[in-house]
Amino acid sequence: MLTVSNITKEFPSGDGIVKAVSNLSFKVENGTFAAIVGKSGSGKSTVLNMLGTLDAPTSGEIKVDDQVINKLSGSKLTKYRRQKIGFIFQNYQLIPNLTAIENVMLPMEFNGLPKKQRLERATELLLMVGLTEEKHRRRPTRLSGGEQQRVAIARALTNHPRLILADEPTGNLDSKTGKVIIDLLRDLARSQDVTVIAVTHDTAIAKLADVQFTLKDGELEK
Amino acid sequence: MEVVIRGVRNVFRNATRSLAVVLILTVVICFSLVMLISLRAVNNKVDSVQSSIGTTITISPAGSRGTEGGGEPITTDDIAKIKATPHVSSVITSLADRAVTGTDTNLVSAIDPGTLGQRFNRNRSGSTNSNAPAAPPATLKLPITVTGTSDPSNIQVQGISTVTLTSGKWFDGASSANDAVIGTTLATKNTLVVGSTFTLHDATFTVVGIEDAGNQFANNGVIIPITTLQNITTQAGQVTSVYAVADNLSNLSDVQTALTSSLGTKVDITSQIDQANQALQPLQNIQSISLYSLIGALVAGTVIILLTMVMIVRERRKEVGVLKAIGASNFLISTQFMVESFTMSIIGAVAGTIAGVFLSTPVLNALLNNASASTASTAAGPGGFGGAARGFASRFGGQAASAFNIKSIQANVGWNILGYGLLIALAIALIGTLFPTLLITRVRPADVIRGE
Ligand SMILES: Nc1ncnc2c1ncn2[C@@H]1O[C@H](COP(=O)(O)OP(=O)(O)OP(=O)(O)O)[C@@H](O)[C@H]1O
Ligand SMILES: [Mg+2]
Repeated sequence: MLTVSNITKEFPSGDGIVKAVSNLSFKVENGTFAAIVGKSGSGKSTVLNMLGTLDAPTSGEIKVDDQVINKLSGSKLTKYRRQKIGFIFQNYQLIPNLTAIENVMLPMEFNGLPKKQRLERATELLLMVGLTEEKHRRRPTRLSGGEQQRVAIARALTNHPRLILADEPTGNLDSKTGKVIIDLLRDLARSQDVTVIAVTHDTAIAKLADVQFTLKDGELEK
Repeated sequence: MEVVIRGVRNVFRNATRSLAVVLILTVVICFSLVMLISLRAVNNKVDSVQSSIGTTITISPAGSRGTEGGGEPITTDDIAKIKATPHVSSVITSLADRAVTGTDTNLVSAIDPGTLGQRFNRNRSGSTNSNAPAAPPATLKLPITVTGTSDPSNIQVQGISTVTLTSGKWFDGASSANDAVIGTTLATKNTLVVGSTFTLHDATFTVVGIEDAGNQFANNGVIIPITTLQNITTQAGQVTSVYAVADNLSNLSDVQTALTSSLGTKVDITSQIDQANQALQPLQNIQSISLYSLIGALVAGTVIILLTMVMIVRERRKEVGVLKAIGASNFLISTQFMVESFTMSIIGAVAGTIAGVFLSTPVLNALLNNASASTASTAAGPGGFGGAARGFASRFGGQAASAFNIKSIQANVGWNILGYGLLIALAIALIGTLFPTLLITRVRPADVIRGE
């Protein structure tokens, strides 16, 4: 269960401050695929970054399975990101000089898993997200956008996270491929019992989600 | 382990840039090593020259030269002053004299006047006829050198080169007995052995020992106690040279300064320190050239690594942010960048060391030639440093000559040089990558990912 209580995020901007998110509260059950929609600048990425501990709220509290996560720091924070969170980015953000499978093995290496197990799980995950074996040893530049995003999804899943956070995961894909990726994420949420929160401004895609939140000027639109 | 492999693989992401950096580091490390090798070779030489300096200071009347020449003899007063100077461990006095065969002594010189001797004879007789026959008059005899000393066992420091006794023993330098040690050639010429007697200034002397000083001139001499010589020549209390021995090398220059100020200008005070310093001057120039070059090269290498790594970190800012977002620690990411810079500098170290090993000898020789050539032309005029060294060597014996020959320096290239090359490379990489590492820790993944 993800519980967001009264979070506010302020950024210093010039001489004043910008309130990107104000007094936001919501809950998401485990195994749910949730979509956050809203216009550009409405605060979607800011919320997602706070859920992923990449940024801390100015005030308020974020709890995942009864653990307050917005006060973590140092090695605890690193460990939390590594073990409980999986990120998927709009531009896939694979490491360019590593092969697909090496990219997927990376978070497991950070987690101290032996090489054999890393290789096994990475192969398994890549097959699961639909990347055929002959493409496992290709570098990102030799994969299509959809294929790269599949690799990114596999990478996000490696350490059995509680929360998968995707910022515009289909933003660089055509609508057909985008729908395939969204279906994949929704299926994963159910089969792996992991909470998936995806930011998108494509309402057609948002309709596929189990739950949908709409942000407007940093607040939840009822 | 994987982080090391990734670090090494990252070197090849921009192969052209990495190659350029490696080449620059190769030059830097080669240059540093050459300078280090030169510095060490020169330092060793300076040490060996300094440790070969005798601690004896020679005090002789101003204007005198060896056993020849004029000037006022050194007085008992002066000797008391010298003895009272701090750090003077012993004082040896000597008096030089010449004895003429027939008039002063019954000894006959072992040295044949030869062609050079004839010249003196002709000039003394006032002959202006340059076509005069070459045969010398039968009466010409070269005088015999007589040295009075207070310390015969230390005779080698008294300007007479290395002396060994071939038979008999030394006399007591403090006595006023009519004992003498004579040179081998003089003994042979006059058929003298230990126990024989001869006359000198109307006194009868007993030969107590025979010495070999290694050259004809010194082997034609007589050495007797200084008091005895002063008595028989009625020069009571007078000496021609005083040798003050400093208690150790580090006090030598202080003692020399103290003597110069207490004795004034009527005496010449010399020690090996002057000659050594003169000989070492070009080496000291090389020392500072090498040292500054070494520091310069190290700084340049560090700056190159620093700028390159800053460039690389900035280029991969987003990647650093992603690595952090997927759970890599600052330490791990920094290690990966460290490995990358270490890889480049180790390749540079290996290439630079190989080049350095081959270049060190020619570079050191070039530095030596350059340094001694400039000293010769600016400081000492024709002959210059070489002339000084030769004059010095001939007075103090052959052993000093090789020690002071600064051109005999060898660039010492051992296996440890490889270690130094690697050490320099690692130090450059470590220092050069510290600041870029700081940049890594300051990357905030939220900012990086938002700004895509
Ligand atoms: N680091 C920052 N410093 C200052 N202002 C910021 C910062 N990050 C975000 N903002 C501001 O906060 C508000 C919300 O930004 P956010 O990136 O969350 O919007 P978004 O909904 O993700 O928009 P988009 O759909 O264009 O990605 C914007 O007005 C933005 O300018
Ligand atoms: Mg956004």
